[in-house]
Amino acid sequence: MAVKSLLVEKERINLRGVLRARLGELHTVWAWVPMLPFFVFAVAFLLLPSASIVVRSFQGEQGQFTLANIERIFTRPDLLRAYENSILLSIATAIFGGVLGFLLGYAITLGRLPPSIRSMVLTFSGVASNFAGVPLAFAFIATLGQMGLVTRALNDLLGRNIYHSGFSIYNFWGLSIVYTYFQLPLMVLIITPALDGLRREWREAAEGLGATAYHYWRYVALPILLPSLLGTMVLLFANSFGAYATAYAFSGSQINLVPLVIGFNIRGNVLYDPGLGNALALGMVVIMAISIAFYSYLQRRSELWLK
Amino acid sequence: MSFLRLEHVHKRFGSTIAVQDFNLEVQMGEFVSLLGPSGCGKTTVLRIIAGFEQPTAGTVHLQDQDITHQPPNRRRMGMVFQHYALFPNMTAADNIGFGLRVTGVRREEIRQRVAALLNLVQMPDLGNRYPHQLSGGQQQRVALARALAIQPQVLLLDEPLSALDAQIRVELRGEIRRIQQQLGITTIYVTHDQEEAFSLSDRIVVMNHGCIEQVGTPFEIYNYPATSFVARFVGAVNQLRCEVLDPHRGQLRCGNQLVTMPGPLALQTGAIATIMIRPEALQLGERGGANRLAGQVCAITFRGPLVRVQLHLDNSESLVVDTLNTRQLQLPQIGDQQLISFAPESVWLVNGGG
Amino acid sequence: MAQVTRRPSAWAWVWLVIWAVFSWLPLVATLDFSLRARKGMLSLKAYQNIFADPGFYNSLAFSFQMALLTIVISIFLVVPTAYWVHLRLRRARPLVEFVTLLPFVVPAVVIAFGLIRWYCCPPFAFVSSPLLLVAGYVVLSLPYMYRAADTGLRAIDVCTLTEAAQSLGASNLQTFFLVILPNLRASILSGAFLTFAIVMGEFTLSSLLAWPAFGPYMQYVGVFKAYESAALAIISFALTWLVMLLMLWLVRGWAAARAVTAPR
Ligand SMILES: Nc1ncnc2c1ncn2[C@@H]1O[C@H](COP(=O)(O)OP(=O)(O)O)[C@@H](O)[C@H]1O
Ligand SMILES: [Mg+2]
Repeated sequence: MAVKSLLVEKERINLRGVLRARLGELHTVWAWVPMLPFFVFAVAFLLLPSASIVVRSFQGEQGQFTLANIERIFTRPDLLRAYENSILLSIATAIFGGVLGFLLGYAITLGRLPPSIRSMVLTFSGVASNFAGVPLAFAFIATLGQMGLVTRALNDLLGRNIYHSGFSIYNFWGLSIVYTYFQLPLMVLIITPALDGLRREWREAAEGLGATAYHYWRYVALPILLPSLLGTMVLLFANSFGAYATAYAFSGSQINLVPLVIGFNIRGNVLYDPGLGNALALGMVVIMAISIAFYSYLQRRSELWLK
Repeated sequence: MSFLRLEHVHKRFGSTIAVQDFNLEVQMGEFVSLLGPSGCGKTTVLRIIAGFEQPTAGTVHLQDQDITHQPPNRRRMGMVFQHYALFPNMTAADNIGFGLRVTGVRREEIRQRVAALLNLVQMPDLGNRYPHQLSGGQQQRVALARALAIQPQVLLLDEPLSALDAQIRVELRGEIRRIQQQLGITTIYVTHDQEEAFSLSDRIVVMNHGCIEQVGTPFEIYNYPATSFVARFVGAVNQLRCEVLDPHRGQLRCGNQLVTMPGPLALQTGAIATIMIRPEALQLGERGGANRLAGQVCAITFRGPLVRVQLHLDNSESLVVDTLNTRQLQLPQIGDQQLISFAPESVWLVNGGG
Repeated sequence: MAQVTRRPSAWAWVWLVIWAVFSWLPLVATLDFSLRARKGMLSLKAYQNIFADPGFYNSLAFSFQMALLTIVISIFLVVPTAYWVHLRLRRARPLVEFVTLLPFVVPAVVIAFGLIRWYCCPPFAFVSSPLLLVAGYVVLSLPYMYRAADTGLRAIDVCTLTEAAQSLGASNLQTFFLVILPNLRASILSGAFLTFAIVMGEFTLSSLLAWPAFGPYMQYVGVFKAYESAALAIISFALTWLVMLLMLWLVRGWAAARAVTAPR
């Protein structure tokens, strides 16, 4: 009898435990409710529209599964060229902006400049990194265009027009300079905190142990910075890869870029072809996804160290 | 001849004077602590020795060689920082081997030396861990091993234990001393904790506002403090304002009570003087010596090995008495009149030796 | 003997000068160009033309409205979510961070493309409503707004503050509005200003969705009028600066006020 009542008791405890667990689950479900507006919005205006592109790139006109859209990209040299241009331009400006931004970030953090200069550079960078798009294009046309201030100044100075020596603001290198204008400040903004994270004691510990500046940078500072350095450059890559407004404003541009092709497609020009547009957009998303996956991997590496 | 010598070292940062006329000679193998409140310039002195700061004036000599302007990476001084400053991208072993690697020691030799050092700091199996995988105490052990790896001429430690919790602090403290004596390495140790300085050092330099207040053995510093600042900084001390009664016999009047000093005083009759006495030199009851004072008990604080009794004297000055805690201890009640006694030898005059 | 004194920062100055030239030259050139609308002399003619154009005011007003709407909706969506993530749903953080990072990953062109495709036809025929544009802008603002809110929340001890408020009898909503929100003011403001700057100059979405916003207006002017477009670039740059400085000024004022009232 005693045993039986004990069993019953045990059962009851069990039941109570189960009940409590269920209630707990309910509780955690409730905890998600305040997040609903955010997630509903994200699904409706970001996730579904983007995901639909992925799905529709694999659909034919009647909704059947097909790889034709994607194949079409690979059979059209002009589209392949657009991807190539976009990727190369993004790599080039990520490197320019990255290296120059790093040097500037170094100068304002470790260069022993007055603190007022540092805050001035950072504030200006905040503005300049948002100064992309149409007005930026105008500014560079006024600077390095056919009739630009610098073009004319160089003409007077060197006695010859840089446009006759192959330079143009509308070609690859010209566009690289323009993009660098907003890439550099972005790099400065992101890399400055990382450079601030280099602790003075690390340098001193290294020096105390007999290391030269080279040793310190080679074995300590660069390895520590490398993940955030590369990570930021991936971000710069993405930033320029997706840039539409700046490229569009150079409507006379001789180089074709993926965002422009997609834009033409949306605007319903001669190029109008929904299947192709989907596939082109998918291509962009894939390239961006790869670079961001790389970015977050690097980010995690650097957080691991800098804890 | 001294091993390390600082002469008339001054350092100013803009308008702040961090160190002022600092003179110190350290013998080979000696363990010297710089002790003082936060902001008194201890770290600055240490960094000048290490070469991270240049003195505004003055010189630093090591083995009679002027190293004032020698860059830090040629000085061979191992430094241990408060927050470890381990390189986060290297394992413990790589951290320890760093100084050897940059000076071109062979790989195999580095490996052996690192293993020996890991043993020395009692972490033989943790060489492959990254700093963020180690506890604070372990990180500081690695930092110590890293500093020792280059067989430094001087080991510099800047509050190495103050980021650790109490138990680890005591444990590691003992180990630092053990290793220092085992290797016979000249050591400068910065701390604001007098207990740490006392338990580790051969000699202590007490600093305040960038100046040296006193240099001496722990015994001298505690029992013969040169200034009232030193006396107060290294332990609890009672201060009493008295009037000189008879300078030749060393007698003073404190309120209506008589206090006798061990010798004659260089003061006039009627002059006001401040005397000092440590709480543990006072005894409850009358068996502590020739001096007697009476007061009313106003607080009793239990502190483990000691019990602190606070009294108000009749002239509204107050006094604390530390008594060894034993099971048989008979404590007074708050409000009781209590007699205390002490030897004339344990009293000293402020700023006047004693 | 090698001197230990820290290397002079001469090269830092060199970099700074190079940067300053690269940064300011285009602006100077644009300013110069914008003043040359009259042949052979400096004049404000280009600016006068712009200011006489009703299209300028209309597009500016349109973008301004869109920006305000975007900011309100974005704050409403992001701040409570970020707060909740900090307080209760730490597990959800990676997910929320992923979502808010997406607009950085998915280019604006693609977002525009997706929105148009998804909302072009019944049952969601929505393309002709300006709300779709606002929704797109809110999407673009997510990374900035979330970052800002997150930074602000990290700076205060959300859990303790909330517990303190609740132990004093405040409800969830009271806690949020009376305790948390006032402490986040500075960071929300910086997110809002950033959003404002982005929306005011935005071109991709507004042009692809065919709205007469300020970005497309600038582009349109650029096609026909060289000097006026330079003037517009200057105006737009000045506008961004104005917004930035206004924000810095406000945030600093608040920070100073807080330092006085609540020393740490
Ligand atoms: N790099 C520096 N710049 C300006 N002032 C400094 C610098 N380093 C130290 N000081 C000042 O010098 C004084 C002594 O500092 P420090 O040596 O760090 O003191 P401690 O280590 O004893 O706490 C302090 O007032 C501190 O503010
Ligand atoms: Mg210090």
